[in-house]
Amino acid sequence: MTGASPEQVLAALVPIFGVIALGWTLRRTGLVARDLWGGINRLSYQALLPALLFATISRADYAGLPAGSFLIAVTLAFLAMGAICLAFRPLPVSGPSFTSLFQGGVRWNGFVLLALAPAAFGPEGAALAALVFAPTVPLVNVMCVAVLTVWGASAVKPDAVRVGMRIVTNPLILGCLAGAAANAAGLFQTGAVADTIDLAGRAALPLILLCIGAGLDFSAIRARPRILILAVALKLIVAPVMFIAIGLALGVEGIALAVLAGVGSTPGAAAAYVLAREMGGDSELTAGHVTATTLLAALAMPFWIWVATTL
Amino acid sequence: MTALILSAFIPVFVVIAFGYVIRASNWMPGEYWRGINALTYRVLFPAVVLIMLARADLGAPGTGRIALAAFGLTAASALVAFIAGRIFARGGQVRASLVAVAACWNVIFFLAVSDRLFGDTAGAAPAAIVAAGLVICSATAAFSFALARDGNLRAALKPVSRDPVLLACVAGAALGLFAPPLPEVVQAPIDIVGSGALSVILLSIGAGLRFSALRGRVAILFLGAGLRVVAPAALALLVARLAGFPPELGALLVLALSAPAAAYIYAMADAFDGERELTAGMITLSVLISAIVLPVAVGIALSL
Repeated sequence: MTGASPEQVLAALVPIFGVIALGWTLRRTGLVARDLWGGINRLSYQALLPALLFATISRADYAGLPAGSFLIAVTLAFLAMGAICLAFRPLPVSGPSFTSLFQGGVRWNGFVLLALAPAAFGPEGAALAALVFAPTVPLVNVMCVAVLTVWGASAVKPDAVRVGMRIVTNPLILGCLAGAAANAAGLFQTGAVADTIDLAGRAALPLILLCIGAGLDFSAIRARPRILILAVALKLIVAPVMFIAIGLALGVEGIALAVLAGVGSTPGAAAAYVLAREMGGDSELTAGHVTATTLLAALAMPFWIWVATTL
Repeated sequence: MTALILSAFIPVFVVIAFGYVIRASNWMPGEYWRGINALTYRVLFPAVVLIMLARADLGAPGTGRIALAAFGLTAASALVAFIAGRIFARGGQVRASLVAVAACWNVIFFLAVSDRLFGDTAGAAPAAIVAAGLVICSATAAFSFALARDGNLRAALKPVSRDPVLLACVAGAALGLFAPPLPEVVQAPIDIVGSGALSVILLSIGAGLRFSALRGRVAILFLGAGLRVVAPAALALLVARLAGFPPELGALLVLALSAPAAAYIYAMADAFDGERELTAGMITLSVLISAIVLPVAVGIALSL
């Protein structure tokens, strides 16, 4: 099996984008007002998602999967995207706008892929998609914080120790590492602990998809259209090409290559907006990028996954 | 059988306990739960109810009898609480809390445990129990609080008629009974949203536990929790036996009727200027008592 057809991927994406649209509607209509989403976000990302990652990784059968070369390809592809984005610094844009271009190019919204993976790639693909978080969360965060430190508008420079601790103690990374350790040791495959974590983790993706929808800001799309188009192209055209090319170069194929294409073509992440606000980035441009890439990913993801499955 | 029962109950109670810990430890302080509770009550819970009832074969043989039993037992629980309230409780608001707690069993708790115990083998029975019980318990709670506050039932009609859970219940039952299956493009997103509802609502049950509310008024607290958990368990066992329900069906009935009190009663008490602390205490105590009583009662039902 080399993954799903574009029709299957599209069919799996429709309900995912339906939930995202529901999140937007709930916020827009005030049924769940803007100020109420903070708690939902926190519960989803800090408690439920680590549980989901643990449950997925701890029970996955990686025996027949090229997990090693897949993870190396993912890591190199994110580094390559960082280098490509840096090459655009000579453009006549402000420092804060450049940081948003950079974050737009390298940050990925893994949650759309996590929701898509079981239907599109089966359990093996879902296990690989979950594994991506462990190396990429620290890598992408370090790259983005570094770029914002240099070109962001904030006068307050980040405390390296604090940022380091925040990355090391990130619940997503801890969830992945604990899951990998449990998988290697054969622990918590069944029983009360596994069932409890599984039960808690089931709520992660629905809530996160609703949160993604609630965070969409269509008015921000109109801000700085040229640089926004460039940032969107970096995320949805250049990044998938890089991920697939590096995967092929390292001998990644089949489901793993399709997942790699999925990672490359995911929309931008809302975390970029939070960091842009905290560290003097162009938060409006970032909000526009997240919104535009979220909408366009509905087309880009099936296309690039299909490309990967035909190679 | 003991292992099966424990494996069904333990994860559910642990997730509830986790909800309590993350609120009490201030990792997610009280104000963060406002959004989660709003999302739960307005979106997640109605999504679960709607999709479950719309998909259930409510016309299947036997579902009418189990629905009737759930309806009758929920009504009986409310009636017993009303009589007990007239005898033991002082003040309309105290009686309202007592009736609401006794009538409103926690649907999500019931669905979470019944899914772990029986999975798909339960067929349409859980949906029939929810459809029959949910309408009467929500309406009873709203009417009793409204009656205590305003002295008339008309005031309760407006919130009851707009209640998202009740609307989802009525819509889902109508779809399940009369309409063709929903198109996949509509069903799938609701399904995704509903799939997350169980654990979020279990967490919010835990976050809503108020041990400080257990101080004082011990007798009325125990009366409320007892009328919610212990008395319905005994009644449901009796009805299951007399009606000749198979053990699995009897266990479902016991599980529903003696589940802890629904957490949304607290919000209702708040909205109707009712006895919030007392209601919170009764809900908390019903969760604690159910952790002991329910596994035993379900075990008895399965062995009948």
